[in-house]
This record gives sequence, C-alpha cells and structure tokens, in this order.
Amino acid sequence: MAAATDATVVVERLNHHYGKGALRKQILFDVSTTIPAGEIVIVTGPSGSGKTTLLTLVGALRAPQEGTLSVLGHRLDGARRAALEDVRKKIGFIFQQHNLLGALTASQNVQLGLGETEWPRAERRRKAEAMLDAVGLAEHIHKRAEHLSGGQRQRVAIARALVGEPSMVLADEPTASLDKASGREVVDRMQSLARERGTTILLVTHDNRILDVADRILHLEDGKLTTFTDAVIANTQQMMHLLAKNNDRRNLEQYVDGMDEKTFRSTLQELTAQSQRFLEATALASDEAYQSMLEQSLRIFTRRVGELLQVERASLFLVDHARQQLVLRVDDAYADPRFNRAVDDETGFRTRSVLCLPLHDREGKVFAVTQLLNRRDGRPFDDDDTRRYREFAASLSVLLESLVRIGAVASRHTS
Amino acid sequence: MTKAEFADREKAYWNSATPIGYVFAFGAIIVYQILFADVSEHLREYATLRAIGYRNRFVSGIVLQQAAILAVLGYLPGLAAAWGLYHSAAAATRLPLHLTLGRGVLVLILTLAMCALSGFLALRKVRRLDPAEVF
Repeated sequence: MAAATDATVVVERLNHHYGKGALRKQILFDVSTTIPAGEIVIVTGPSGSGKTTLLTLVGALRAPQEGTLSVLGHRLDGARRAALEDVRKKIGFIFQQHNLLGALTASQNVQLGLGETEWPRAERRRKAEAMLDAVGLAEHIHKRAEHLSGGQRQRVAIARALVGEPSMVLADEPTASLDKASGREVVDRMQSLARERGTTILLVTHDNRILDVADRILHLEDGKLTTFTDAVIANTQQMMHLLAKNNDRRNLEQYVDGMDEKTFRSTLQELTAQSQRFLEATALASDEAYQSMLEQSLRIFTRRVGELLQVERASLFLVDHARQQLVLRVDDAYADPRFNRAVDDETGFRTRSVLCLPLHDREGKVFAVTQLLNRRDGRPFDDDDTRRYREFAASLSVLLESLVRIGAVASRHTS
Repeated sequence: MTKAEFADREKAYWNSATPIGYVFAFGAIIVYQILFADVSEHLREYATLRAIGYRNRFVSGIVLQQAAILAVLGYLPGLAAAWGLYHSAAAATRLPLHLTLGRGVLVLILTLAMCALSGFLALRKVRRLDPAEVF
C-alpha cells in the first residue's frame, strides 16, 4: 500500500523497544511526523534520545515493531526482509564514520553506491568521477580511501550516497568527526546537491552549527518528538544557565588587597580561565546559525500563539523605556482615546479589540511588548485570554531576551 | 607369505595408518581460521555494504570468492611441491611413482571443497550481521 500523498516519509504512532522481558526498554514513544518530498529535515536531541533508532527505522535497516511507517511509497511495518532491502537501495546513507572500504580507491568506493545495477563498467566509472568532481575531489579520484583526510573521506561518503540519485538521503552525525570548516563544507555540499536534485534529506545531529540548512527541525527528547520551540527554549535556558554561572564572582577587591605575589598570580590565572570560558560561551551565543534559529522560532512562536488564541494578528514590539503598565486591554479600539486610528487608515486593517502584554527580562524590567489584535469570533478579549497569553509570554520573554542579548553582544563586537 | 599377500598387507597399512582425510580436516580448520579473522576484521565494511542495499548473497559471494582464491593459491605451490617430492622420492627409493593428471584434479577438487566448507562456516558471522549496527 503506497502513501496517498507525495510525502517521502510518513510516520504514525511509532513505538520501538529494545531487549526482552525485564530488560525491555522503550526507545521511541508515539512518534508521528510527515516529511514531504524535497524537504531537508534535521533531527536533534541528546544522545540516547532515540534519534539513531528513528533513522534506522526510516532507513529500513530495522523492522518497525508498533505503528505505521511508509517510506518512498512502501509500507515498512510488517514488510518482509527482502522488501526492506529493496527500499534501502533507493536511499543514500551517510554514516557517522564515513564507512568507506579502505582498500578501494575513492572512485571505487563511490561506484559501490551504484549498487548491483548492470551499468557498463565505463559508465559506472564516469558517474562516480562526475560525482567526486561535484564534491570537490576531482584530484583524488584514484587515491585509496585510507589515504584521504577525514573531511575528504566524508565527502567521498556523500558522493557514494548521492551517486545512485536516491530519492532520499539519511545522514547520521555527518559532521561529528570534522572540524568546523570542513563540517560546514560537507553540509553545504549536501544541501546544494539535494536542492539540485530535489532529494529529501533526513539528518540526525547534535551539531548546532549546521541547523540552518534545515527546512524543518525535529527534536527528540527521551524518545518523544517535541516541537522546535520547546527545543529552542530548552537550549536557550541551558545557554542562559551557562552565562549565569560565569557571573558568580566573589568580591575581588577584598581578595586582592591581602594577597602575596604567588596567590595573586594563581588567582589571576583562575580569573583568566573564567574569562576564557565566558568568551567561549558568548561566542557560542553569537553564532549566526543559533541567532537565526532563535529569530525564526520567535516568528513561528508568535504566529502560533495568535492561532491558539484565535486572533487575527499577533505582533511583538521591543521597547526602549518601560512604561510599566501591566496589561492593556482595549475592548473597542475606535472608542478608546489611547488608540491611534491613523495607523489603521494607513494599513487598511480594522482594529476592534487589543490585548497587550509586557515582556519582562530577568531583572523584572519591561523590555518588549507583545500584542494581539481582534479575536476571530469578533468578541473582546476576556480574562481567560489574558491568563493564557500571559503563560505564553513567559517563555516568549526568555527567548526574546536571549536574542536581544545576543544582538547586544554582536553590536558590541562590531563597534 | 606370497607376494600378493605382502602387497595387500602393505596397501592396507598405508591406507589405514595415513588417512589423507586428516590432512583435509586440518586444512579446513586453518582456512576457516584465516577467513574468520579476515571477516571479523572487515565486519564493519560488510555491514556497510548490507546497509546500502547489497543483498546477503552479494556479501556472501565476496567471502566465498576469497575462499576460492585461497584454495587456488594454496593448490599451485602444493602441486609444485608434490611434483618435486614425487621425483626425489622416486629417485631415492627407485620405486615408480607418478603424479597423474587424474590425481592432480582430484586433489584440486578436494581442496576447493575444503575451502568451500570453511567459507560457509566463516559466512555464518556475515549472514547474522545486523546492518543497523553501522549507525
């Protein structure tokens, strides 16, 4: 039975266990998702969260136990082993360790990706060499895999995965063994090659530096799929925690005064180490990929809040000076003297009711205002709306504050 | 004791005291050891092949090919050594010893069978391989 849509992967209520009897341990809980053709999806999550299990299930390397799973139009749940092997041939795999055959040359390794097809030898070689050229390894075609560097090997692995022009590519931590520059290069190659061919990519990683190549990010936590927003908030809080730790300074003056030279020197060293850690933490925070991830999530988050509360428009405003007014609720905007009709006249939006909430930073100061306009049912906002909105705003403010701080860090660096 | 009786006794002695079967059993064990060590060393690569869609038959074929290569490569120097031994033994004992074509072919077939047996034993490890383990 083929999937009705052109979705590459359809996962529904997937459960998976390892072990038997008393040792039986559930790895995946009720995982459901759909991946449309041509989408690049990244699965993040801590180690042991079930990412790799999900990947091996989608890759037809394991038989599903509970729930339904269709990949490339084939139902995998209840499928026989030979059927799983047939699906596997349509998928390109990129492993954490490149998994090349060390005794073969780069070209021969890539030719392995063509499978047991009956291509003429010259044709196989031509395809492999064209693919190696595409990943920038034209000069290394005849080098043995064991003589290539880590980044080059991983690029050979990508060529091997893509040479058979698979409809889907599965990658498990493709950048784990690479430094920042070669990791970046590897994912950029993957992204551009996939875009050219309309290949679906499912990529498992906990490398935050490459999240920006994704169209969508899924987060697995203890075998449960959570929303991207949850993941961002979790990440953000973790980052804030890291920064807060470094603020734990003791009264330096008191210390330094009664100190002999040796103690002074070691204290200085300790302080330097601390500053180093702080700088590293801020470097992580100002990382472009992370910043765009936050920005994107804020936009999505705000829109979702608007949907949940059934309003026509939801917006966010950053404020410079706090007016410290707690909740502004306007039931009929045109009858309220505080409302400026000129804005509506300009934009053509008919404002009826307004719900405004301040966002507080950690010091309790208002640093942003978020606003909902017009309940969809046309009625004014009530106390229930305010309560629910306030709950959302609490997490929203954590997110926004970290973004503002990153912005501040970035501008301080440039000035 | 007649001449015929002596000949029968001699044949019976050499047939029972030096059964050639031991040699092949011993050979099978050694070939199995070599193949098993090689398969274990490259298990990850076999798993990779299985994971990217190669069938068990293909991967098994690689192991059996290795067994066949071992058989032929072992047979050729063995043939040369036997040839030399026949000649020196014939010269030393003045007995008419001949390495016939039929015997050579028989030993080749037995060698191939021995290596095939070892190959199939070594295969069990490859066939049990879970391709999901490469992740």
